[in-house]
This record gives sequence, C-alpha cells and structure tokens, in this order.
Amino acid sequence: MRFLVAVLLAVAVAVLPAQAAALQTPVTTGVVDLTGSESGLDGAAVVFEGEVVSELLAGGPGHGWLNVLDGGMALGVWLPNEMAREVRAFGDWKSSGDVVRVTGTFNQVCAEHGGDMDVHATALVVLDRGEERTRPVSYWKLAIVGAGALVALFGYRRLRRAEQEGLDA
Amino acid sequence: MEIRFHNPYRHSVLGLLAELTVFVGFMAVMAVLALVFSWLA
Amino acid sequence: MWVGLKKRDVRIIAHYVGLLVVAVGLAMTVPLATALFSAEWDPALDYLAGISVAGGAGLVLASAAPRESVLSRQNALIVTALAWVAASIVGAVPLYLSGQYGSYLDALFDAVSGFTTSGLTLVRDLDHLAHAHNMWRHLTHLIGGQGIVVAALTLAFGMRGGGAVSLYLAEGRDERILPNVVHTARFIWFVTAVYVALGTIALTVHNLLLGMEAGRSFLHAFWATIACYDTGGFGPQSQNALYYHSPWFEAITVMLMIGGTLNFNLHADIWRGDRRELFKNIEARTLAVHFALLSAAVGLGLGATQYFSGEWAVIRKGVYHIFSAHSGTGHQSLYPSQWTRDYGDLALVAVILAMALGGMASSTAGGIKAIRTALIGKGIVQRVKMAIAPQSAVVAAKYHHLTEVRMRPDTLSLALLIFALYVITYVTGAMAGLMYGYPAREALFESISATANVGLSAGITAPSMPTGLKWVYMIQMWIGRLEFIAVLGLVASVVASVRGRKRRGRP
Repeated sequence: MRFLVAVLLAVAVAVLPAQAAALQTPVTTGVVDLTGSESGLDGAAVVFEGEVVSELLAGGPGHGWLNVLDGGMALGVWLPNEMAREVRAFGDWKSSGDVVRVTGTFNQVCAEHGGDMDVHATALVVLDRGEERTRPVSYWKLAIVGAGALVALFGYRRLRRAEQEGLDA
Repeated sequence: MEIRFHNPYRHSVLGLLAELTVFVGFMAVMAVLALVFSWLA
Repeated sequence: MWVGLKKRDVRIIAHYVGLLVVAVGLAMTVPLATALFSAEWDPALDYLAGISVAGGAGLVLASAAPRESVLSRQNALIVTALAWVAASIVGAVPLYLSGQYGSYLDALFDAVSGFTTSGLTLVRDLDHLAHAHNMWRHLTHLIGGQGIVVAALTLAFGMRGGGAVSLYLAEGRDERILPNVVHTARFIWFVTAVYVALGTIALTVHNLLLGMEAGRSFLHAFWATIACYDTGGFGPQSQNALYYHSPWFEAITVMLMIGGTLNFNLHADIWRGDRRELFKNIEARTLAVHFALLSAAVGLGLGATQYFSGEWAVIRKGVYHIFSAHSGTGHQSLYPSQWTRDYGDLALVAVILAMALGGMASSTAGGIKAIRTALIGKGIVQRVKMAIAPQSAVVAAKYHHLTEVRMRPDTLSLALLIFALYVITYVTGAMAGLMYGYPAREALFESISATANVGLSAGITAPSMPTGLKWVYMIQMWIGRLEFIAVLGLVASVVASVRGRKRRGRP
C-alpha cells in the first residue's frame, strides 16, 4: 500500500512540476537579483516584494500580467485574473501603486511565454495600499520662464536690428 | 538622372501596400531561416 | 580645403543654429499640451521653462546675423554638427527639471540619445515618469530622426536657394529625390506621417485589446510607433519592449522598424509607382543578405543555448533582436544582463554585427550602412577581376540604386573611409569601457550600440556609470549620427581658424 502511494506521489511530482515547485520552500529574493546576474533560481519557487506599476495587461484566457517594481527594476508577473483583482492601485506619476508580496515560480526564460523572463504567481498578498502622490508645483521654475522670456525679448530686438543693419554693419 | 514632375502622391497607396506585404514576407522568411538553423543546433 | 572661420562665418553659423534652437522650443509645445491635458502641472512648468530657455537662447543666437544670410558649404556642415549639440543642450532642460535625472549631464545624455535616435537612457524611475516627459523623450526621436535640419527646411525658416541645399547635403543624406529641396523635405514628412498614423492606429487597437486604459493605449501606441519608425528605442516603461509580453506588439513594431530603415529615396520611388525598385535596389539586396546570414546565425546560436532553443524564443528573442539591432531601433525584450549570460556567444555576435552594419543610407538608421557594405563588396569583386584581367583592361563595376550607377573610385574610397572610421570608433569606445573596468563583451556591445545609434544595452548604461564614459558615449552617438563628415568638418574648421590666427601673429 505504502509502495503504491510512493509511486503515485513520485509520478505526481514528475508530471506536475509547477505543483512540485509550490511544495518547495520559496526563496526570498528581490527583483534586482532575479533580473541581474546569475541568480541560480531558474524554475525555483521564489517570493519577493515590490510596487505594482502601470496597469494589468491581458495575458491569455483568464490570466493577466502585473509589473512589480523593486530596486529600480520591474519584473512581469503572470497570474490568474482573480488573484490580480486584489490589486487596486497602480503606480505611475500621479500615484504610488500597491506594494505586494508575490510567491511563484521564477522563469529565467519562460518557455510558455516565448522566452520572456517572468514569474508565474501562485500567491499574491497586498501589503500596503498605494496612494495619490502630491506633486507640488515648483513655482520657482517660473523664474526660469521669466528670465528666458526677457532674454528672448532682448534677442528678438537684436534680431530686428540685425535685419535693418545687415550683416557687415 | 531623370527629372520627374508628376505628383508623387498618386501611387502612394499601392506603393505602401507593396512595402507592407514585402515586409511581412521578409519577416516570415527570416523567422523560418532562424528556426531551421536552430533545429540544426 | 578647410578655411579658417572668420567672424562673419561664426555669426552666420550662430544665426542658423539659433533658428533651429527656436524650432526645438516650438516643438516643446507638444509636451506642454500633454502636461496640461493630463493635469500634470509641475511638468507643464518644466516645458514652459524649456520653451522660454530655447526661445531666449535661440533668438540671441539668431540675432547674430540677419535672415537669408547665405550659407557656404563649409558653414552648412558646421551648422549641422552644432545643431545637434544645441538642440540637446536646450532639450535637456525640461528633462532635468523633472527631477528624475541624477544630474544635468544625465538629462543631456538622454537628450543626445533622443535626438540621435539612439535610445540609451539614464532616466530614473521611468515607470513613474509623467506623460509630458515621456512625450518629449519620444518626440526627440521624431525630430532627430527626420533631421533637425529637414524640420527647419519644412518650416521654411527663410531658407532659400544655396543655403537650403547645403544644409540638406550636410546631413548625410544622399541625392535629392525631387528637384526642389523643400519638396523633398515635405515628402519625407508625408511618408513619415502615413507610417506614424498607421502604426499609431494599429498599436492603439492592440493596446486596447491588451486591456490598457484608453488614454494610455493611445500614448503608448504613438510613442512606440515613433520609437520604432524613427529607429530610436526609447520606451515609456523600464522593461521597454518586454513590458507588453506580446508577439503582436513585436510584429507590428518590427514592420515599423523595417519601414524606418528604408532609404527615403527608396520610399519615394516605390510610392511613385516603381515598386520593382524594392527588389532591384542594391541596399535592399544587401540588407536581405545580411539579414539572412544573421538570422541563420542567431538561430544556430540560440538553438545551442540551454534557454532560448524553443521555437517562439528563437523568433521573439532571436530574429526580433536582429531586426531591432540592424535597423538601429534598439527595442529590447531582454534584461541587459541576459545578453552575456543567457544568449550564447554566437547569437550575441550576430546581434553585435547587426548593430555594427546598420541600415540603409538616408534613413534614420545608424551604423556603417548598407550602401557602403554593398560598395565595398563590389569593390572587392572588382579588384579580384582586375587581378585576373589583362593589364590594359578596364573593369567597371555597376549597381542599381534608384537608377543604374557606375561605381566611381571616389565613391568607393569614401565608403571605405567611413567604414574605417566607424570601426575605429567602435573599438575606441570599447577600449574606454574596458579602461573603466567593464568586461570586454559588454564594453564592445555598448560602444557599438552608441556609435551606431542603436540603443540596445548590455547593462553598462546606467545612472551609476562613470561620468567619463557618459561623455564617451554621448560623443559616439553624436559622431555616429552625423556619419563623421560634419564633425570632422567642425574640428578642421576650428583648427584652421586657430592656425590662421597664429600665423597672423595675433595673441
């Protein structure tokens, strides 16, 4: 009996690698390490955190793409739409995005997605909600506008004079 | 060198279509070439 | 022979450079409108400031001489060389004010990269950049791609007769396609307008299908279209082309890349009814040969790698990048470190060669250019024939470039000269990278990418890059865009002026 169970388990692990990866303990890492030099984590279960930016893109039936930004690099996360619905705020100039913790399988060169580097998420947790950014207007820049306009006026008058006097005056 | 005076915009549509068709064909040929050679590896 | 510049020349040069700077300022109204439309108030101020700086500097420069001052050929060359510098200096102002560049130098780097349609970038936090700034970054590709000079011609800034022709020839474009230079410029804009319109529509539809919000769909579509048709390479997200995870995006943009790398004269001929020219043209044939060899090489190379051997990967990471590199676009769907780590050396060399060889002449592509490799190839064949033929025989080489052309010795030698200059620049830039401690493959990759105005990056280009290397790449991008002649002309003129002063005994 035990032997049968063992065989069944072995078959299951061999045939369902994604599930097998989920059974492993995910390695805690960051986007910079994943996208940078040799991480050695291809095919491994990973967990990392970052800000979700831009928007949710379509990624085939029932799935979508999220972009998670961390340490200045962004990584594409492929996940089922229901999981993606957790995310409400997306980062751009006007607002910061939700900070999430993604758990999934890292693919250095994903065979399913034409060679893209990505993570197939198995879990997504929203850690922090994004908010609208106050982007205060820097009124001191008007000084530059003013200075430039004055110089332009001066230049224009000088141009008019050059027209009248000619080149070799 | 010929001097052409007729309106250059007249045949533009046909020209554009020809270009786009050739582009697609060209891309397909290159893709096939690359694939064939990748199988050789 | 280069004559030293007299005060009169300097004033005329300043005048035309000034006019072009004013034109750049006028172009900034587009990102200003974008900012206002998107309720990005602080960026709007950045562009107001940029417009006034460009207006001020431009008018002061322009006031050095009256309108319709005649440009000699030498002065035209110098104006061309300096126009890129001046445009970049003012173009960098709003970028710097955005606060997302480490320094003014970084902003200047991006401006140079934009106007030269390179695509290397030093921007920080691109995913949080305002629409206005993305608009300006991409617009610099459009302006630079169509040639700042051509743009000025179209706006008809009082240029008539000799001056207009000189400037056009200095730009590195070859023979005129229509008798009137202004008509030529307008036709180039027409072809561009059609391609940009089509590309934007196609990509907008694509983006909407991808689930993107309407405004962003359009903006991204417009930006990607310009970036690919003008073979620039900027993108609005830090992942560049990888952001979309879409083979359709890649296919549409590759078509734009091909369109952008076609010689404008070729477009003109085809759009006027001579469709067979696309097959007879020597540059088209040369590029076809290059592409075939390099696509085969990239397939072979990737097929042998551990990672990229799948069919879709060979096409979407292999052939896609050959098109991106060869056309000088520089859109990238890999992370920089993957080039030297995952891509395999054969495929990497294929991409490097594609970058180095470049697109057609009189297009927005960079690199050595197909006409030159074609001429050099013909030259080699001719030499071999001459070696076999009897002493007194004359071996003529002919090729088809819009019309049947007989290859002249000076055409061939100029081609060889420029070829040599490109190679020297490629190697020198690589040496600079090595001196700063970067590995050889990356250093060579980045140097060629900069000089050939491609924009693919193996990771060296980053805000943390050494300042000296930023200058090296900026100069390479500038020289490469101008195909050396205009820059050498500037240097020769300055040297001649200094020498002239010494001889006259002035201090």
